[in-house]
Amino acid sequence: MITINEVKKCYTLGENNSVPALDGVSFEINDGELVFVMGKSGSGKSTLLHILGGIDRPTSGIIKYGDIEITSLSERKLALFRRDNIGFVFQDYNLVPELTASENIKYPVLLAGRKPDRRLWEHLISTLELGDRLEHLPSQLSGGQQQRVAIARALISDPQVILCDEPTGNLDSEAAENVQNMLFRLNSDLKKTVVIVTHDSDFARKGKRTITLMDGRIT
Amino acid sequence: MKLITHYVLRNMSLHRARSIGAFLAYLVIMVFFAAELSMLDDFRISNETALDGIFGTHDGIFCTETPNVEQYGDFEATGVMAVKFTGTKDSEITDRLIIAGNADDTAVNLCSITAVEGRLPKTENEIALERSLHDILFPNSAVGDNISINITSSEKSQAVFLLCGIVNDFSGYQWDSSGNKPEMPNALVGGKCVDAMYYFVSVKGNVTGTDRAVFLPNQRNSLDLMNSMFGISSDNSAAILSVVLIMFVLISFVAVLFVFSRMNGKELGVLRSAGFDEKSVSAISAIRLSLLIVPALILGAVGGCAITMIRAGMVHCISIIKLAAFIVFSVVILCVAEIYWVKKGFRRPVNCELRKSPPKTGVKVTSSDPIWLYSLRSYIMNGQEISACAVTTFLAVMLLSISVSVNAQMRSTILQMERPYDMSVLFTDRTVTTLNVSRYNAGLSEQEFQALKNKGADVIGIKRQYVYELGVSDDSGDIYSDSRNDDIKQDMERLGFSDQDIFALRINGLDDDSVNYISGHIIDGEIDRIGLQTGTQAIWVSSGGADEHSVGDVIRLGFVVNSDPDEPSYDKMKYYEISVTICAVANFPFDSPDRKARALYDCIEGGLIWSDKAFENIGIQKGYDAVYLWFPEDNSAVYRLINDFQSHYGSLFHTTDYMHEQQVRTEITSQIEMVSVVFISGIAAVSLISFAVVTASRAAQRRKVYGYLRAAGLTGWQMFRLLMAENGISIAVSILSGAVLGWLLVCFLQIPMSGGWLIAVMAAGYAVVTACVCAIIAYRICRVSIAECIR
Repeated sequence: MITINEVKKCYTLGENNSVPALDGVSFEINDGELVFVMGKSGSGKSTLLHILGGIDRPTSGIIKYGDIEITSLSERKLALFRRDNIGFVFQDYNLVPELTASENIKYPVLLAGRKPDRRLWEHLISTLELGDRLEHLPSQLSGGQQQRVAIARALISDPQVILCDEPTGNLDSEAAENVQNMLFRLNSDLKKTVVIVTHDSDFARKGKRTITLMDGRIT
Repeated sequence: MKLITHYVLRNMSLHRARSIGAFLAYLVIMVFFAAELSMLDDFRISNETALDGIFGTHDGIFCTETPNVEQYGDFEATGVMAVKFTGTKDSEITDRLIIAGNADDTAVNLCSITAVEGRLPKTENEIALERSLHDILFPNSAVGDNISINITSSEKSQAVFLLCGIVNDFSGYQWDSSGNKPEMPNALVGGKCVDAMYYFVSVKGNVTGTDRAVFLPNQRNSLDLMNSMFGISSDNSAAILSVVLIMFVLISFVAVLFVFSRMNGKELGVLRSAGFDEKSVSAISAIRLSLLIVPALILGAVGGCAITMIRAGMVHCISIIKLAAFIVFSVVILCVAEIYWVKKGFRRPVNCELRKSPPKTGVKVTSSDPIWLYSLRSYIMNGQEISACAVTTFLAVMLLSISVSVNAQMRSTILQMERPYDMSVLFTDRTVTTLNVSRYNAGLSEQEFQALKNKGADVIGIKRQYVYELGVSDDSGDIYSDSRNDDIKQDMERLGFSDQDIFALRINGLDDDSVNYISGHIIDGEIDRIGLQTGTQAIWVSSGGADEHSVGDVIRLGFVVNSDPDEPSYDKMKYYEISVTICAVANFPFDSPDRKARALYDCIEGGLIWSDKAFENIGIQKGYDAVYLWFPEDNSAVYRLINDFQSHYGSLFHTTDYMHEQQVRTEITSQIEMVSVVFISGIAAVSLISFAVVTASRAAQRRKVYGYLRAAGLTGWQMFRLLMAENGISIAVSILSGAVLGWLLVCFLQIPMSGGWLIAVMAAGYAVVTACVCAIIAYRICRVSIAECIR
């Protein structure tokens, strides 16, 4: 279970001028749950996702993954925690341009000093239909293919939690549908906890739970 | 234009960190460059006179032993050249002086030359003759006539000169035509050059025929010094260094520019796709660049000059002109480069989509280590940026390799310079006759003399000491061929010296002739021969001046010995004093030149102490009669001499006066070292700054990738490894190849090396510093919010 308790995040824009991105957000996410986070631009969705994933720190408040309070972890421990427990999918994919698709997928596991699990690897490649694109550079892939690579990369270390920041934002409707289906299957088949930030209300409507943010607060 | 300017200002404001980074990079590089350039200029301009003033009272010494004026053609002197003419004319031996060339004031004053008719020479084809020589050789020629002189060893058989003047007979030289060696201020006579005279004359410009010219090492002229200071002080070397420095700094600038230029690519691409034409985009780049570099370079130049001024006290106009020209040149070059890159990148709107990905080349490069995998791939696919960094590193290490070697050589040279009276150079190939040993002695400088003199009012004279040489005598038989030998031996026996010690010293010994001569002029007291010989007594030579002493007065005498025979230097020079009692006062008539020389010779040896006035009477500069004692071939004799002194003269003690000359010398050498150190540190700093800027800029360009990698679990240590691996290959190759090439150049340029280890240490140090730079950048990246990186 992920517990978010009174999380606040303020951005400082000079002296005596801070803008609250999150203002006392509290909620819980159960293991294996699929949660959509919606809201207008600037409502704090991405900030919430970043803080949830431990790539940003809240100004105040606590985030717990089970018994582990990630907001009090050191940078190194936090990095190791992310590596083993969290997978990210970003809107603009964030693939490493110098690495091929297969290398991009394997990279998180390699960083941890392990080899990718063969069964998981084959499952991901076949499920995401990347078999004939593995040796291509990101620049040689379409948006949908890049996003599928990004999803495979997020899953390769078999994390329990998948955090997606507008994963279909840059995709056409057909590619978006494919990605959406994959994310649903991750949740339903692999029992992964999935948190998806999106603007797409149709997409969010397919889920069971949606958290809506407005001006940094849950409405 | 207004829109463009507005955009540029807004852009620089929004990208403050990037702009400030570029500004600081240009600024700091320029500070080092300006400091080094102005120091080079300052040193180059001031060193000649400074060094002349310090390393010798005179510009140089040359001698000739020619029996004719045949050697004239070998010297291309622009200053005074004095040649002793010892040829014959009508069977009459002449021993006179000819002055040819441009007589400068220093030499003229030094030699007390005055024109009794006409004027002194001003050009090379003019000549002035001594009156007596004129009367012998050219009695029918008058001032204004052309005269011809046979030159037997030159290609020319005859040289024609304009007789521009007749000069006095050089009585100031105490010219001794009787065969005795003249005692001359500022003159040194000895050995094989028994018929030669050495004159301190100004010889500026090229001097050929240096086998005939002798430069006393302790009086190194600037040319000699500069040649040995390769790369530091000579005009050509300074110019070469300046050019190398300029090229290096320019390359560093371009490397920094290249990286920053690519950082602006996205904005320019957007502008281009929004309808800005090529000219507008180029104008934006040029304006943005100019706004950054013009103030940075000007401020840097001011800062660099300020450093020089603080250190050296002045910055020459030429430095400011050079720096101004460099600023203009740099701005033009950088703007052209920037515009070139912009045009190349954004000529077609399709390029405005930005650099989507690197080319596929290099994909085959792989590694099982994820850090190396990324680094190698990045290295291959982003070769241009890394090459910019590698080139500056390569050049820097190469220059540093040469510089540290030059610096080591320079230090060695400075050490040699500190050997003030390195007679071995002067006399190595000479055959020396017995009793000419006095010609081994070099006088103290005026400063040294004053240093002794200033020790106290009682120091009224300087004791001349002689080193007697046994082994190289070309006389057969005993050391002394006349009755003096027996006298000395008897003296030594009385004093308790063994036979082996006889060669080492004869202190205050008077022969019978001298005793008889002096006795005839004693006006008070008696000659205490034993006391004189043991150094406890002295005879006061009176001249009726104010500095008189009377019988019974105790005076102190000082002299100098070098305590380290292997490495004579001012540091190791000791000043000794001895207290003596006046046993007699004498008054000499000094009525003939011959008698003067003989009297001086005997009296100085015999322990007669001369008043200042008495010295003046015979034309002796007392400052040069104090003697530096150093045995040229077997320095153990000096030790024995000192020991004998100390064992036999209880009142002997040494002082530790620090000489003014040494202080000035130290200042000069520290100035030279400063130039060298600043050059080395400047190059190191410029290259490290450009390395840091380029690496940091590349890291900034890749912050999104790094952000993702960190989100995926890259730790700080892995980030450091990644940065090191990414830059390490090029840096390692650059450092290694730079060091090797530098070493080869050092060998090629024949710069004596203190050891290749120096270059190895420098290269290792450079590698460590670059690693530290990478560590700092890695640390900085790890401190930046990942969310900011990937946003």
